[in-house]
Amino acid sequence: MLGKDPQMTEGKVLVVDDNEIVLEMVRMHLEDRGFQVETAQSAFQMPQAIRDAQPDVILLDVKMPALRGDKAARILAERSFSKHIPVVLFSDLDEAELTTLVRETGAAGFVRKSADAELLAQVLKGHMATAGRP
Amino acid sequence: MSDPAGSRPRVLVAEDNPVSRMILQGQLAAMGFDVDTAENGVEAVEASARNRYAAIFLDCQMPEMDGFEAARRIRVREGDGDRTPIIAVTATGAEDDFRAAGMDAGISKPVSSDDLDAVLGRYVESRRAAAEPAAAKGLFSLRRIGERRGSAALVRLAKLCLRQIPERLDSLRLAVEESNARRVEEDAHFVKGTARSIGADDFASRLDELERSGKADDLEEAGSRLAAVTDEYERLERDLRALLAEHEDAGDGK
Repeated sequence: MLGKDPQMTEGKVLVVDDNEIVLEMVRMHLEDRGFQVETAQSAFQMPQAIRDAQPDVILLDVKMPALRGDKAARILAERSFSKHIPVVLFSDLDEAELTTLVRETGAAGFVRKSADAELLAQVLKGHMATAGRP
Repeated sequence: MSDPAGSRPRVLVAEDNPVSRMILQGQLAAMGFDVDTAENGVEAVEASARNRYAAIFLDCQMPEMDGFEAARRIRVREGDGDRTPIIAVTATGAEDDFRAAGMDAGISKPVSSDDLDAVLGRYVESRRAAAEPAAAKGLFSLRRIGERRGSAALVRLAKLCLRQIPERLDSLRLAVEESNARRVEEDAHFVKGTARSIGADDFASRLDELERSGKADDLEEAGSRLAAVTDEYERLERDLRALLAEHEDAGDGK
């Protein structure tokens, strides 16, 4: 496993959402809680962003135009450059639907968009800490 | 282990999933609790016999012994003595038999801080004051950004909102006129994301209703709900402009 980066952050998150304001709000909330944050505004930008940023966890919006997050999660779960990185689906679908989507896509988990910033941070930390465990 | 008199109140989290356990543990620690953890019902029953907890969180589905059985055993041991608040943690929130097992309340995973505040405020003595209704929540998240990041960040985001939202509302109006239900759903969903992220909860609720109309292909209903969305946006726009004026002044002073 990679060591923590020299600045001792909580870890690096790639946030993918088609809405610029959502991206900015999430970025600021997470940076305030010690995370390093990279952003991408569409699923198509993800492969490059993953190679450039080497994130510890990916927070992925589900309902995006062109390529939905659940499809993208399925692809990421299969590719060698990304399959070790936990993907957390970010959506306001209800919990039962999200539980099913997590199972179907190989994502690590989900967090609802109505979650407050503290819960979001804890969920991401939880998935980073347990990444790669059986 | 001794009763932690005078120190932080102690709670127990029993959950077999390590991610869910860490999440809840982290949230409770951030709220000022000392947190013990257990990985199944057997460990939870044992820990509850050794310590006096302010509250016990029991995941309903655990190996060895599930949360229901653990709650029953804890209640049997307590007998007529002090009754520890037991909170059921469920995957769906739909399991209603937790009361029959002697649990006091149920919350669903992942647990929001609001739900935690509500349930702890109700059952844990030391949290009662903290659970007083929060002040006006309008634009709560955006205000918070202003407090933590300064006026420039808030001004930039508020301006972004004042540009993005009206554009999408125009697109929504056109979609309703053209009877394009799919685009009604998509546009309403998009703006709802913005509304939710800045803490404009009433606006987000109206947009959620409109999104549902689009999804259900009910364009008549979408038309009337669009009016409610437009009204709510007028209020939001006033609030955003007021906030902007307040912070642009503050920005000048820096």
